[in-house]
Amino acid sequence: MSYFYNVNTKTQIIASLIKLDTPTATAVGGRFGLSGTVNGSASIVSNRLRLVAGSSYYIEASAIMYNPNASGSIVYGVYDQTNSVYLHECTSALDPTTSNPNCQRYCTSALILDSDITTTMDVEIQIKSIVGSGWDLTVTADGIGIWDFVGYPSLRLLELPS
Amino acid sequence: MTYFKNAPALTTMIEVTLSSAQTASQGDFVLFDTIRATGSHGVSVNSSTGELSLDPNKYYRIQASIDVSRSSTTSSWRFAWVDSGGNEISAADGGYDAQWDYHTASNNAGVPNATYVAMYQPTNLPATPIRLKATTLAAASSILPSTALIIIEAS
Repeated sequence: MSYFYNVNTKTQIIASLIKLDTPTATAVGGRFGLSGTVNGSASIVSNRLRLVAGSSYYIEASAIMYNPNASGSIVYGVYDQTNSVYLHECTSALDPTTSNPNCQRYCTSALILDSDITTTMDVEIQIKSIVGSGWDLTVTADGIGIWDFVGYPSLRLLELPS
Repeated sequence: MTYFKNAPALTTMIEVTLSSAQTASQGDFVLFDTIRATGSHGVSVNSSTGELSLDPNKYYRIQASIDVSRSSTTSSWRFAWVDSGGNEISAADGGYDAQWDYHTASNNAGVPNATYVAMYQPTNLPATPIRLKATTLAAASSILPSTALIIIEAS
């Protein structure tokens, strides 16, 4: 008699969806708050993601910000606090009426390989520069500034064990 | 009786980027030239043609994040995936465009929200090679190095 079985294939990726909250300061160096459940081996420590060797990680974060003056820009990015270097950065995208020539990607992201991590690596979503005044980065359950939205801005973390 | 066997899908994450800004106009392709990956994979790029070759026997989820500096501040842009014949890959076949539309403050009726990302996630095996084409872009604009692909490949 021959037996046949069905094969269920499952990806090895471990995914986490983390709330990206109000930054510690509306200033250069301010880091966005992180809260929620991290699946896998990473953890949240002082609003930073602590990544552990033995896996590779893909991080992407979409911050939200409001400027009642409809001008200026904020550059934020994935910052490697362990090695003091930005892994990637992006600029806030203002209303399509803007005369700013840049139309940036909607999020900042970075692929961190297992080989990039010695033992652990702490990364954060950090403000690199601010142009303009009046910025409101306070995220509430109702939205930000005059904008209402459903749900919070988020950071997505994908872990792939080596 | 039915037997099930759980088997891990061998998975690789691949990042594809530009090493420097690319001057581009409508009809041009994004010329990616740099690959980093978590392990061995079946993806390659041709930095002269913009072709992204995929392993025809594997499964893919590709997300392109667009970062453009427009040569005209009143212009719009749109990027879409095309197949080897130059035909745009439709949503029915797993292709989704990225679009950013300029509008004035007083005339914004019917203007769509920006999407910023172009996805390619075929239900079955992929078309290959594919290219990311600027279907709308002001002449001599710049595609900036922050433009990137994140690819999840599974066998």
